[in-house]
Amino acid sequence: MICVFGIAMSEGTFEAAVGLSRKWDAREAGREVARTTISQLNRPPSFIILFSTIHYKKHGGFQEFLNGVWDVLPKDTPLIGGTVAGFINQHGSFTRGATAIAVSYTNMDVAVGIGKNTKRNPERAAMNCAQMIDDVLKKSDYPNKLLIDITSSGIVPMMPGVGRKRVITSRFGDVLLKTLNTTCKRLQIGPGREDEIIETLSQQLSDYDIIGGSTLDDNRWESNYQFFNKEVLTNSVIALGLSSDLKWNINSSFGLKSTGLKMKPTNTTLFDCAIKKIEDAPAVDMYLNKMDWPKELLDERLHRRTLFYPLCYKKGDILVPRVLALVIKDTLVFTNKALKNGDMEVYSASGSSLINSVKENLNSYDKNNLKFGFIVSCCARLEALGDATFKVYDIINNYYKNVPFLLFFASGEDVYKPGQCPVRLNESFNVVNFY
Amino acid sequence: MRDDPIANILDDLLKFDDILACMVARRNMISVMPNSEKFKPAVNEIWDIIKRAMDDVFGVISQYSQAGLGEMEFRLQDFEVLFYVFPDTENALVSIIPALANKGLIEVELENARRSILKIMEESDKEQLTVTA
Repeated sequence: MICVFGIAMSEGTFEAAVGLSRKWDAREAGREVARTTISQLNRPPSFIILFSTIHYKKHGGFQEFLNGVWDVLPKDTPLIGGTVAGFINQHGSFTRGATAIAVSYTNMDVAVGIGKNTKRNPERAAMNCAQMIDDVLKKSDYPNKLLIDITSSGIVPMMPGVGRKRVITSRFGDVLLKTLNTTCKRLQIGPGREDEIIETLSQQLSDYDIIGGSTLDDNRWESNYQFFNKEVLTNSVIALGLSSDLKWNINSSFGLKSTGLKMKPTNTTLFDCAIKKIEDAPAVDMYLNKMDWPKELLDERLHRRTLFYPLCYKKGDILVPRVLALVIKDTLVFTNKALKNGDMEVYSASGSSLINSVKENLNSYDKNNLKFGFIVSCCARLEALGDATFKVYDIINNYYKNVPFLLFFASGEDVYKPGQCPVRLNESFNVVNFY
Repeated sequence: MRDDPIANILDDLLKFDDILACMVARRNMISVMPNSEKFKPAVNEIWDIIKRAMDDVFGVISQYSQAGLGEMEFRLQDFEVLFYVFPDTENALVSIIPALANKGLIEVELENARRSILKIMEESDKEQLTVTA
């Protein structure tokens, strides 16, 4: 299947195109997604951002997928990407397949960066990645700088005899929690530690706008991969740096409502991703008590329920939601950092509030001279909305019309604007529109 | 590769780990069945009871599809059965998934499958009309 999308052109120098493949075979899908993207451009791409779902792991593997892309892609095109839970482009909403966006523009310098072993030493990985970007783009004279970062998400640990469970109530729970700090550093299993990565990236590249998200699989958090030029990687942060006369705006929205129900974590562990105590009481009991939920709700469906009740805090003026990932005995484990000794508040979401937040976000933009849109949305929103994600597609597709756009569903989102706090978000919808 | 494009779509769905079985069906009748050898073995154990429950659900679908009934689902033991109704018909795309699957993601591809099947059905109807005319 070949899908042809619209091309955005401006003053004969700018082109952007989005491609798609729904093939199952990794190599064929790689070729097709590259071909359907590149064939729409009149000049070689300045860069390409490539996403696929996890399914190619079992249908040829990701190296074959990437080899297929490079069968078609012009040599030395800067490429970043990775595995995602799903994506939306002009053709629809998908949780299986591959998509890419390529841009060709003369007034733009491009650099790619990489840092490895993010779970072992996220600061060093981010430093290495930022350094590679800075080495190239510090010589650039263009006024505007943007970083798109893609980071490996956390991995749910496999417990012998227990498997990969979301709720662990057995005595193994305590053992697991104690060992997770170590396994995260040694085996790189556990939290993705993306908060630390965005902090470092924003310190090193403080004059860049930053938008990004984490790679994952089909919301199982068992494996995820990053694509960097011709390499398939794990546990890495990769980034695309742009220096250009293009202008862009980043806007985040949530669709969450304050409930007034507050909780103060007083004891945290696992890089502050796990709350052991709330107001000096065991976290799980206190959480259920405050939510007025029976203990029976603590089952393997917990994650799907709590998507609609994220625990949030404010960083500066920015809302930072956290979605519950695991329950390990008395401890609540989140994918990213909670706020120790500060007020966190339960917010609520509904299907319609999540969908309306998409409209609100896009309507805040000027559509004049819009060249292309790049959107990072949380995989929790995808899981929460299910097939209602097609309503999101309708809104986005009607908004962009013939302007190329690409949305990917990530395991947590990064946003930074110079002069503001860098934030690691969950359950957010983030747009960067290019003009 | 079989000739029936709808069967091919169903075969595609069965490549998902969490889609244990799928078919296009109506009450007391399976209209299009993929290669049933590709059904995951877990379904075979409770197929008879699922099939009976499905027929009861199709009774509801036949009553309300004209009124705009779009989707139905039920959970039976460790399985969920999802019905994506084809508008104004008594037919539905039926999928059996594990009760603890990440249903949101699966729903997106079931909806893609439903739309593709609908397109095939519409094209088939047009061809029949042309032949009749």
